[in-house]
Amino acid sequence: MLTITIVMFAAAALLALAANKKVGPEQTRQGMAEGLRLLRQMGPSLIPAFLIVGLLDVLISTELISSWLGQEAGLRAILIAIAAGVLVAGPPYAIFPIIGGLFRAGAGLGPCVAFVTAWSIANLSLFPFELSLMGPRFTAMRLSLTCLLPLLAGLAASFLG
Amino acid sequence: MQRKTNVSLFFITAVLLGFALWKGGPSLAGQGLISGLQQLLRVIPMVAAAFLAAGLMKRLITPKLINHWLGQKAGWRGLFIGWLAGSLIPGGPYVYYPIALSLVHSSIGMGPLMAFVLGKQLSSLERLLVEFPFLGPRLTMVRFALTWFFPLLLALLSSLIWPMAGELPDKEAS
Repeated sequence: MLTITIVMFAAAALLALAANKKVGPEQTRQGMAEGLRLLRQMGPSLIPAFLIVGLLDVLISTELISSWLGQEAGLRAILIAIAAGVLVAGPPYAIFPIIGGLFRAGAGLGPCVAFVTAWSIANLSLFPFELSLMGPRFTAMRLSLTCLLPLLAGLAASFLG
Repeated sequence: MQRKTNVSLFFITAVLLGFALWKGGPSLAGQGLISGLQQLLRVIPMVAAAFLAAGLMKRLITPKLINHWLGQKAGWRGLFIGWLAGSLIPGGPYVYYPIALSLVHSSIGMGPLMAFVLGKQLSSLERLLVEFPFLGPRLTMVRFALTWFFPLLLALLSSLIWPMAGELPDKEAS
């Protein structure tokens, strides 16, 4: 955990150096200020998201999570995860903490990877933008190219996990 | 959007809290709340770094730059640049779909266009910044390792099926 924190601050520092060189100190300051503003904006969502994580920890037993979403639940768990990934709308910083919490509490690698992949390419909240801007043909083509991906990635992750 | 998210998150929290109180009384409910807050405190520094990085990326990688890169590149180079541009550009669907549409207007090929959209969805750098603190390194790395190359692969496939994106978007959609 500490290592990642250090790596992420290092990445932010490198980006700040690059921005300073490329777009100048004023824009760099503005970029950092915007990042902090975003943090303040989503801060209020993080508190309930993590309270949910903690409450789920004490409410749902590890056995229950394992039996529904664990590695041994196999294909059924992956299919549940894909359906959830399509249906559950919301910003990643509200949804991902809950997925991370379920993973730590015994959900399998396969279902979690399947959820994130399905959420990334086929979450319902994407379609208003995609259909209105790109049209139904592009949307249909993109979906038919990617529809098996959450399942394949989930199955592959199950073998790794 | 933000407000609706917060309301529904607080609603779910209240329901779970009520359930915890009913099931195990104040001690179980308190234990859950404290466990959640502890986990939140652990990730806050990482999240702060992630948002600083995301804010800076927005200044460095602008829609104008992406448009410039993608101009009229074709072939393998176009696919690769489309994928790179999609992976690097910050912002949600309200940012990248309008850019994708503007790329259609500048007669980009289907391959680079698909590589751009799928790159954003499957190998986005900005998303990695959110995934690392919240999902943890193992889940993030496995997810990324299994899916990062698909934008290129599927974009190639789409360019074979439907080489020009010029007719997009469909007449009936616009």
